Amino acid sequence: MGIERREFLKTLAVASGSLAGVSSLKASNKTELNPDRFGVLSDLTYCIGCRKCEWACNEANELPNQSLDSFSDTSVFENMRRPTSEKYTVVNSFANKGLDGGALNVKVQCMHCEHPPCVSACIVSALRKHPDGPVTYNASACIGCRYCIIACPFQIPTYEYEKALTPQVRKCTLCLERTIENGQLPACVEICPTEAIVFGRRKDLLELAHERIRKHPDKYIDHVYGEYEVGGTSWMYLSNQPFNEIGFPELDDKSPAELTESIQHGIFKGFSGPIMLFGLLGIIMKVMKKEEENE
Amino acid sequence: MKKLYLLLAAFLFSTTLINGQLVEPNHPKDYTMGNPQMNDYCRTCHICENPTKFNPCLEQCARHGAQFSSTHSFEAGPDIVIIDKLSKLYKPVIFSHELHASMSEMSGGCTLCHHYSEDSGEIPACDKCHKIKPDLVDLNKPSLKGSYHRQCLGCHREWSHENACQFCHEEIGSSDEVVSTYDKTDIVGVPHPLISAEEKYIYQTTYQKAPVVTFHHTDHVDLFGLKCTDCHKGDNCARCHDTAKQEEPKIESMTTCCSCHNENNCDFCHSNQEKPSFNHGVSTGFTLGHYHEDVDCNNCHRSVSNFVTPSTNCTDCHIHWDVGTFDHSIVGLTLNEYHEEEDCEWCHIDRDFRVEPTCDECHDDMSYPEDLPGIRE
Amino acid sequence: MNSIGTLSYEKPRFFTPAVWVITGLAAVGLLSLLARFIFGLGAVTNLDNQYPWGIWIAIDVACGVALAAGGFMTAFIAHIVHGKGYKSVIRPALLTATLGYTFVALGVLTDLGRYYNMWHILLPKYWSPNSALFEVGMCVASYVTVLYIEFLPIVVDRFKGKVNLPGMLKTFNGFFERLLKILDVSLKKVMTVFIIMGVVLSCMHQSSLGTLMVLASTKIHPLWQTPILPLLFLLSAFVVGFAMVIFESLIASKSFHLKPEITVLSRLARFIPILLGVYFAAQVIDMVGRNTYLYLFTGSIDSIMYWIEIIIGVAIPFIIFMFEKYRKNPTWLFTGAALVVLGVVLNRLNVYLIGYTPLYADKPYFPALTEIAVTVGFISLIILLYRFFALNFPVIEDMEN
Repeated sequence: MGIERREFLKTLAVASGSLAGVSSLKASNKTELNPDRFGVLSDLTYCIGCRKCEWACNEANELPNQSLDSFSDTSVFENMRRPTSEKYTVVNSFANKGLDGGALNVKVQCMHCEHPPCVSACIVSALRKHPDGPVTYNASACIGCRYCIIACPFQIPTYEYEKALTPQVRKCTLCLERTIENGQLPACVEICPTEAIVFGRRKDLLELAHERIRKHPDKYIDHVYGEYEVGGTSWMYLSNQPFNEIGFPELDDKSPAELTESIQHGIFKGFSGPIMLFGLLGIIMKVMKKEEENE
Repeated sequence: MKKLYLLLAAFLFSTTLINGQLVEPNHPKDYTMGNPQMNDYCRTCHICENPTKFNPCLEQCARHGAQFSSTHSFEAGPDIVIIDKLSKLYKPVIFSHELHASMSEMSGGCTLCHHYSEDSGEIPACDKCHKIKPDLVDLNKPSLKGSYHRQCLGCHREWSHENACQFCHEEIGSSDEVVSTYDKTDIVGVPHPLISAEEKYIYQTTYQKAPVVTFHHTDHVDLFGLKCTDCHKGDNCARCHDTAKQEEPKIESMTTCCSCHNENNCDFCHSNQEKPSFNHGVSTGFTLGHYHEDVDCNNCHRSVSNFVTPSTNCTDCHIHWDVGTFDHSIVGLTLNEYHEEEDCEWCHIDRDFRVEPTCDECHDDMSYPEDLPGIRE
Repeated sequence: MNSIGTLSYEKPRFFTPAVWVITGLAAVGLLSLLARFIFGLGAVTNLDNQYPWGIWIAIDVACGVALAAGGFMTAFIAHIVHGKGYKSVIRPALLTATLGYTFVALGVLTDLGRYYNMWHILLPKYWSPNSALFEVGMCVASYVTVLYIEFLPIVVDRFKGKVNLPGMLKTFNGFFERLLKILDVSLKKVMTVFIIMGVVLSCMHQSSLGTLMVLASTKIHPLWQTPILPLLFLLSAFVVGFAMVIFESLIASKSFHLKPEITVLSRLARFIPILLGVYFAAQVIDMVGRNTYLYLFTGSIDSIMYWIEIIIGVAIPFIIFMFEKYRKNPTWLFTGAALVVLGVVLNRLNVYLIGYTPLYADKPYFPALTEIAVTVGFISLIILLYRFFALNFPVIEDMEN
């Protein structure tokens, strides 16, 4: 396998040139967030567990649905439920230590992280962070690898395993079509009788949340869940009970995506890592070959 | 240097003076002058940390009755209110206002729901502030739907432990089966029925020396004239109506009792056996004769919450008793024409009406009660 | 080609009783595979929203990639460092790697819900450079191509000067001969680039398979949840690359009734304790740095699995390969290599399945029979194809006499 020095350099140039095409794209993938982006504040102390949000969500997203009054059935609270591919949101019930004998109900849905690990995970950018808040899904791009479900720190995305040909990743859309495109409220927020869930600008909601805590320090625990968790989420919660007792994971203030992205970018910044390795191996090869010939 | 001190002193003095007038005269009484630190109570109305008289930074429509000046009785309110501004998925709510208003007497009155009134005392309609369309700017103010539901469900959920929407309004186009389970014909447009209580309650306490406490409920209500809310402070509907618990309404016994019985020793309430109901003679040494038996306590004692032992001198109370104003026949002795016009002192020495009268002053050979100045009936 | 084999050596026939069994397993696997494509993932797997990845990812992909590391490791030793005397293991290792990666790609394709969209990763508008999986995908795709190019000379060798198409196609014989000649010459010229590229690509995606699970850090047991997981994956791939060459060469010798290549293999085995030492040292340093040694003695399944992984996959083989006596003994050599392979398989399973605890799982994941059948089927197919190529192409030197 004879190879001239000139040729070697040439091939090196070709190889690095072809890889540079990939590297030029690096910077463009992170969404610049709108400072007025939306969010939802869920005040668990107001939630009455009527499950009307589940009904409205099913209606708005054209998911299988039952009659409105069938959602009054509280027997579903016996088991903790999780969102499924046919239900973007579910309400769970926990014993409320604050109110005598009452229940504390927790609505579960996609948190729409500020720096979503699922978006960072997605191999084909099917999941994206909308500058106004929602984490959106584009089924036509998806290859169905389900890495987003692995990556999600809240275990939210679900998958249509039963479909052989066109399975989709399913999760709450923050009613993108209704809210951002048509100026309506998300379906669940609109129907909520006690307005336990409030839709608004994320920064306003944070202000509201802290105002409520300040005014009723005896009622709330001093923690707005989602303000900092995994770098912040669009959906935030207020509670009168510690969040780890009512099914919320305890999470760092940093998005796990930050670490992996810094690993990825650290090694592959401008493709320098691979190119350097390529060069190094080339040199070793050259040197060793010479030694072999000298012997 | 001296001048400077003087100036400083003057400044301090004047500020304390001004400070004394900083707060409006009708400022809620919970404000304590000795502790000008903002506390949670203050924060229900003031949104900033350092409110002043000129910049009180008041919360718009604060709760807890802070901005409520209406004084009318609950009977003056409407009997029934039909809430139909929002019906979309559900039919209008027929709200029995009178019943709820009379229940609220137990706990905070009108302000339990109506947290705001105009300065004139007029209570505005809810939708004057709480609009049907949610306010995207003032996120703290619930829309009309949110306001109604929070208001009603706050109590309803506590006692019924359910969230069935049909309890208050039926779903449009639903079958009637669900609705009939919540028959409300007996409560619409009626006031809350009278609340009955036992005459007495006997408690076994943990006080070992004398564990038995007998509480005479009827005495406290009828005799001492206490209102329900005097003891049942901040009681909510669930206390009586909790479907899961079915408990007697409870009060924090020690604190509640001691708020009146603050000078009594333990034995006043605690005993080894049941105590009889209140007896004026036994408890105070002043046996009520048939004249005083039916007199309201307040007539002699200044207030229910602060019983002051009155003078036992009759004229201290009965200051108008005199010839011509006192009908002597009321004591069972009608004075004859010779005595009718005489001063009281002729018979009642030094106007001391507790001791027997004497005839010695005028008649040497007559004595009471052998000889009477009139006819005994 | 210099012939060392005995003159009396005769190539074994393709089918033996064992091969029939393997063929049967492959057939069952293919049937299950068919079922997966007709009825969907839900019907043939036990995957759910808590466990979206099962053994198809953990074994077929993660283990598959690691165990195919022999290809780039021998390429590195023989071609780049120009180590002498490794020639006889290059082509078997290359064949293993080529087959291994082919089936990694097939495994991925099987697991993907929308496999027909897989080409999207090549389309710039879908590119997602933040994703470690994107890098894995790109690298595997490129590396499979590189492997095929590296494998081409074997095909050229097989047919060069022997093109003999039957009947009507005879007229093309000359054309194909010329084509093979051009290929032979040009491949020799550019092969260096592809060999280096192969090593670079391998280093990239072997490590990125670790980065993949760093993103799920909140759900991975602390014993495996480390930011240096990519480094650990790379180091373990280095180790298992050598171990796999030894392991597969010894099996092949046995199966094809050849003398085991003890000299070459024991020379390769010298590197294993060094690499194992580095691998283990990295783990210990990381563990001390993050105080995760506290989890070693909790007695939980995870801690037990970690101990098994370390004892079987690191400690015992380390001792075995330390001694020259054992390195020269085929039985010990095989045992040591097999343990390293098992250790790395355990490691990948631990990271991808056992140490992965979804937040709201109500039941643990265990693969469905059909799921196992597909995995076993793929492994069987690899064995069958290996046997086919070994018997019909110039892969194992001793057989070409």
